[in-house]
Amino acid sequence: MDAMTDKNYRKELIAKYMNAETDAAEEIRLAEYFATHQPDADEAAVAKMVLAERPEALIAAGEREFDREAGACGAAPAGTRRAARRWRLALTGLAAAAALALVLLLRPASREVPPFTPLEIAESLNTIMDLGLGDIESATAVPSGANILVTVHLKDGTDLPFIMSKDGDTGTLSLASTE
Amino acid sequence: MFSEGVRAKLLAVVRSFGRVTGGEDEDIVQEALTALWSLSESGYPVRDAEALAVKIAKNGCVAQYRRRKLRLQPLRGDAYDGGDPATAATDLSDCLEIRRRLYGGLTDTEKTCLDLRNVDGLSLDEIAEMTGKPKTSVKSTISAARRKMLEQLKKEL
Repeated sequence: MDAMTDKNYRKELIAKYMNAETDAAEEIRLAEYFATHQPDADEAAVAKMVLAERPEALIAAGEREFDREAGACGAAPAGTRRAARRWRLALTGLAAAAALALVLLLRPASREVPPFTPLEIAESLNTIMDLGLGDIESATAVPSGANILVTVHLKDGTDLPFIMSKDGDTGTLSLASTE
Repeated sequence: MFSEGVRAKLLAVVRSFGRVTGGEDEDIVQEALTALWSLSESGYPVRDAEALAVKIAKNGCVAQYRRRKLRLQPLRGDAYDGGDPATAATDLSDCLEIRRRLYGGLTDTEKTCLDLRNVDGLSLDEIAEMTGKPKTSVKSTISAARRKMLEQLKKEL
């Protein structure tokens, strides 16, 4: 059990606090307790004072609650959102590849692997940019052997690498996440 | 003080909460900026104003959400075992206003010692070394400041 929930312990700690005999860790614990618990009537004034001295404890508690409530109504914390966005982007990348494949399947098949035309590269980049995720800042394509390395730059500074390849038999373009 | 870009960022944070209605978002952003000003006015050393503004805006969302819940849901009983929703201060802006008021009644030496202790996390020995005062003097300064603030709060309650 957390010692802070023991009223006698808190009473001793508050007495030490008033005499400036607590160390920094004890003072932080006191502030964090009052930031997240309703004080007893006889502690109300001390609680307000402790939080006035260390408002960051209250700010941190409010931030935690924000993340929890935001998560509960669908907006996950930043880390989770980023992971979800990566998955969404990878899946939509596959969908884009499928869409491109459908278009290109209508072309006559050829045995030799033609180089990527600038138009194909531009179309692929546009497909990625048009996914409507709202988080993409830019995308770059760099030829690498028979493939094209596509890097999507997100607004939060992260990069998502994709590899674009072409099937010589069918002319199908595919775009796969390398993560 | 802040560019429109920061204001837009705060607005985006508030809207991402998903539990504030249209019209409230602008108010929460404005309150966050006011609270930040109040915090810095009380002598709190603000190191990263933008990051702090985001945190305060998040607190504003939570406070607004709580107020709405209180309006919609009658409280059952008055015993709380703890948990985030029940705080000593009703919300951050109240806490910052109390801080501004309490610190206003302290001497510069008292404020300096408290900030070195609370914000910089220094020990009494370190504060003594930094201010050139004996440790016992630093201890009695902090203790006197706290007693002064407590007396004031007790009068107000």
